[in-house]
Amino acid sequence: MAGVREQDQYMPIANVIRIMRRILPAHAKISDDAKETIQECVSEYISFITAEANERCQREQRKTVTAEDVLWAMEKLGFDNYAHPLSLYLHRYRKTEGEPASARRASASASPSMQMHPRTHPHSHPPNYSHHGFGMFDFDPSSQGFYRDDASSSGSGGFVASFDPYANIKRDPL
Amino acid sequence: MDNQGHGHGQNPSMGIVGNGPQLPYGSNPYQASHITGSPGMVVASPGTIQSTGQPAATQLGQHQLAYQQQQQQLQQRLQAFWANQYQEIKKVTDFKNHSLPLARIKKIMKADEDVRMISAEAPVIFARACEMFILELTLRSWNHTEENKRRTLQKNDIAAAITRTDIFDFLVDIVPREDLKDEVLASMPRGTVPVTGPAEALPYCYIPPQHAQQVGAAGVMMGNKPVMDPYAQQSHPYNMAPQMWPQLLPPPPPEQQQSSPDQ
Repeated sequence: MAGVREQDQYMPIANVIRIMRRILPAHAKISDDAKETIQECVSEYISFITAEANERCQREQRKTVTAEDVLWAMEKLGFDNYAHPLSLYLHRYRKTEGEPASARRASASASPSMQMHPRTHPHSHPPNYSHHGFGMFDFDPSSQGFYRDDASSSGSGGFVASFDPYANIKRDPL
Repeated sequence: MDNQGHGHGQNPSMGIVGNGPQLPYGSNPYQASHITGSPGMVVASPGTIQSTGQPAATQLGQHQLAYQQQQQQLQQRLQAFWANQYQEIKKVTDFKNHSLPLARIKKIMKADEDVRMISAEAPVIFARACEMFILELTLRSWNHTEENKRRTLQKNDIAAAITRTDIFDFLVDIVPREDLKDEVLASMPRGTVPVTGPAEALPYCYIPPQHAQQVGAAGVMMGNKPVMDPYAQQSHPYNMAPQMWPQLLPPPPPEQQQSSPDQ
């Protein structure tokens, strides 16, 4: 039981390695502990996003975590780069799968609210997309405020800012 | 918040000014110009720091140059990566075969007992999201591997990527403290380590701006020092959440339309 659970906690390592190799040069090697660490990180990522998505679900007194909830959670947690292309992905997925597949899966999950979701979500999708943009801007104001504080008193601000891992973001552009 | 992939070029001058105090390495050219242009200020600084100021500056300069080049390369790769993601998704025709098994994703989602029901589309989105996540984390980790002139991606490379990337803060508990410590030490040239002593003795909040400017090296140390403290104390989520992610607080931030963000 414990073994089975442990296996089920992570993505299959072969899949993970295959994806990793896609972005690594041909001569790159991956240590075993790195492979395992990525596995753990992926599961943590799913749990992290899911928890946030589920919170929204409960707040709105819904029982089913939807794809929209997942995308919303990603944006809220700073994964804007993910949410934007995935929003397009979801849109195209629905076009391809069409209503019959959704209806079939809805009945399979025995969720009446699921049937309602496809109807409302297409309408809410455009605002949802723009919301993503707004969401991105929403988070920036606090950054701007923080940023201005640094600018106004560069010396002391620098020391305060240095406490903040946020500096890691700025490190990348250099 | 994390728009690294989009490369905002707005307000470059402000960016330069703002980056100085925030970035340990970004502050180096500022300090260097001080040493060059204002020898008096160097003399005025505390003797302890002064004695190691020049060697530290020299080593910082050399290290910073290599570091900057590595970071620029990473930034370019990330931009290409995200642009490529968009293009790939535009071309996707097969929505039935996924790189990761949906059943496994669903199980991990359901591991949270609070989660009741999951729509069929959620694991589909997650499959693609996890793919992106693995690719980005691997790319950032490999950057650290190259930085250390190795060809084997190791756990400490992943630890470095997690430390340097804000949105990956939720992963700090996955990498052991030793790997994080290695990352912090690795990012500091040896010559600057002794400066940590006097820096620790100084109360961060009460250093006057003038002193801050004079002791750029100390600023660098303080920039690195606090990164270790939160992890050691295991209070990172609490300390960082209010400052970094207001949206993590119980009340969600109000949705307002803003003009273009200044980065």
